[in-house]
Amino acid sequence: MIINIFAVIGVLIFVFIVGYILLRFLIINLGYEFNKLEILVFSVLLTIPIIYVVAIAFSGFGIKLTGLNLSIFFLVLAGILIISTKKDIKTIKKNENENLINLPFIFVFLLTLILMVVTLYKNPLPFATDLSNHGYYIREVFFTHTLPNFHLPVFVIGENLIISIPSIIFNIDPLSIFPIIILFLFKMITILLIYLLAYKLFESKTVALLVMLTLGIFYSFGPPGTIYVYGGVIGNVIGDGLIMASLYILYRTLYESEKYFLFFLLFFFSLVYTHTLSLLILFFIIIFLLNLLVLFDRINTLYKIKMLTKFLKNRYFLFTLLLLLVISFIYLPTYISKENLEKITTEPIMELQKQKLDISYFKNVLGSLRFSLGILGLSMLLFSKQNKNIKIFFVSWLIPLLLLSWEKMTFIGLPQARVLNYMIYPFSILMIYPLCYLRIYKNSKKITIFYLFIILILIVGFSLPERALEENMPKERILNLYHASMYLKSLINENEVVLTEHQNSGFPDTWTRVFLLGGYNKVIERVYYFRYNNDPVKETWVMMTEPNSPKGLEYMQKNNVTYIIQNTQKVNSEFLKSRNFFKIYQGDTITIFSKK
Amino acid sequence: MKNYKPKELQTYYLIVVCLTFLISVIILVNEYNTSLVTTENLGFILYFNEFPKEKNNQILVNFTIENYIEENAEFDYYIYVDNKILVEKTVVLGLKKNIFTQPINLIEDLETVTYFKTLKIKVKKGESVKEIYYFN
Repeated sequence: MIINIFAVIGVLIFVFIVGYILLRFLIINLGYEFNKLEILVFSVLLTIPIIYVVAIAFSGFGIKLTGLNLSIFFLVLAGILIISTKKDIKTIKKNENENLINLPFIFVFLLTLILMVVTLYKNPLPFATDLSNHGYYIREVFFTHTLPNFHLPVFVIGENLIISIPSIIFNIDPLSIFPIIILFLFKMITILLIYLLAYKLFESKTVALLVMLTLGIFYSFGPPGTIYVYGGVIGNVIGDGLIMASLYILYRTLYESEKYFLFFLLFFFSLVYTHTLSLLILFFIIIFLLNLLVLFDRINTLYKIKMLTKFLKNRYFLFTLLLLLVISFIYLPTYISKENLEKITTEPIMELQKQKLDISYFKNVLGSLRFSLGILGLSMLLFSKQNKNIKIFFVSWLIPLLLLSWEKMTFIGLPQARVLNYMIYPFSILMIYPLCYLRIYKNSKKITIFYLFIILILIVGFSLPERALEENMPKERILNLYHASMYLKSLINENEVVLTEHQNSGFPDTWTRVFLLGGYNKVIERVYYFRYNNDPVKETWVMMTEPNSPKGLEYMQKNNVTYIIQNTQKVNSEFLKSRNFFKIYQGDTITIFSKK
Repeated sequence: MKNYKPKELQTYYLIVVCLTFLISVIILVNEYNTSLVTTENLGFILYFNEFPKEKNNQILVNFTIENYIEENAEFDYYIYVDNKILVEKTVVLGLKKNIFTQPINLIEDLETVTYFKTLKIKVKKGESVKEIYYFN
């Protein structure tokens, strides 16, 4: 459980270097233009498809995902890429004129970083249910050295591989803060991407900085920020970054050069193997964007498509496409099958609350200030003399999000609030647009500094002490659960199953599964049956509430339940009164019963 | 003072960004490692090492008291067999694991009973009480 800091630093360097070697290869051989900040961001992001391809290819050839095998392969791959990179360094083109990293940038970046670190610092021990669900499979890959067998199609292979592969190479037990560190890295990369995107759209460092500032500060408190990082919402965190990267690259493909499409292909592939919802959203954004472009800018769009088709014959592109196709033949994400797609869209596991999309709901998810200023920014943008490409870009970004979060569209099983969370990104840019429109930042630098200062004081002054410094789960409860789980690990047999409280238990009991491994159903949780659709979970409810009833005992026998974890403060007296159960463990937070 | 070219400055600023992130990660990992071993709020934990076994009219009771309160803390523990106190002890425990193996002779201690139905261990430390039990 205790992890080596040098191994973690090694992973961070690995995540950068692997992508950087590929990026350098592509820059030199295909003549891409990237500034230093873009090189940093895309190096980290390019590591994602490399990890996916390597892990799936290993599994396809029946090679175990051991530290030695992976290390040798990555070294050989790096060697091949370095050797086959053209030696003529003069061909490297860099956007050195874009001095995107300056002192205000450092100031805003550090502020964002500090705010996120403060929140993470208060919650260093993993406890979130989402992270435990992924943690189970990540640890399974870590120990078995093979791809996991998911119990539900909603789990996507990439969100596990991105953590398990580095943890195997550097021998870091994923049952630790390590997954949170990886997510923290990708969250910071997403913030940098937003900065790059805002700059690309409005060509103003001040506007880009303000976008980064507002988003960065917001990230410290609500979803999809730090809470998603320590909450382990891996698909969302990586998915956000990949959506931003795809949009950024798509913009450059459309308005700079068609050769950037190669990067789009890599990021799109990564998203297919990372997160279903993010993929669906990006897919609809692209559909809308292409349609609107054909509708409002037909001649240019047709010309761009013609240029793009020429690039599709490029040997590097064709090789990449072929490689990715081979990979998808070896392993398709579990959700890509008619049966599973129906399961995760039309038959959600949990009952979804349909919420009417009114202004208060938007304000609730986006925040009043962001929503109001965003709407103002959108109106100003649409009626401005701004380049129509930017207008089309934002409209294509917003309409699919609006439609997918509409309550009448929930028949396809998408959680509205989660879809609406994706609106935070365009709204973070749009809320700063009024500044851009009025050209305030050009008139006086003092006004910009004033704005920065006011926002800083408001946010830090009012919100930080209350929310960022919150400890979401007391450490002693987490530690007691860890202790109890290790106790069970020393006791439990192969066929025995643990039943836990789950909802409102007051401790992170889903983590017991990550400790025990031995099958996802080694630990079953009592769930509120009215929240879930499938019948078997009702049994967990009966076992926990009426353990001595004939049904309760029958279900325990049927499910091989041998150990029951309860909150010491809220123990069901039915267990205490009964001769069917022994009490074998008691701490301040956890009590464990054993079935006779 | 040396005047840096914008290109050089970009590199230095980028190094600052990366180093700050690295320092943040070091702080977080350090806090995580420290939190794992900071157990003073755990109180004490009581559990069976193995379930009590009856052999040759003797029960072997094997249990652990993990003490996270303070070094050399005084605990009272009681062992009940069929609701009769057979063992009553005050022990001074070190931090973390304190393993106890307590043999109980059924014929001598319970006189007439040669078969036990229930066994309970109760541990007290001030106001805090923990108990575990086993049915034969």
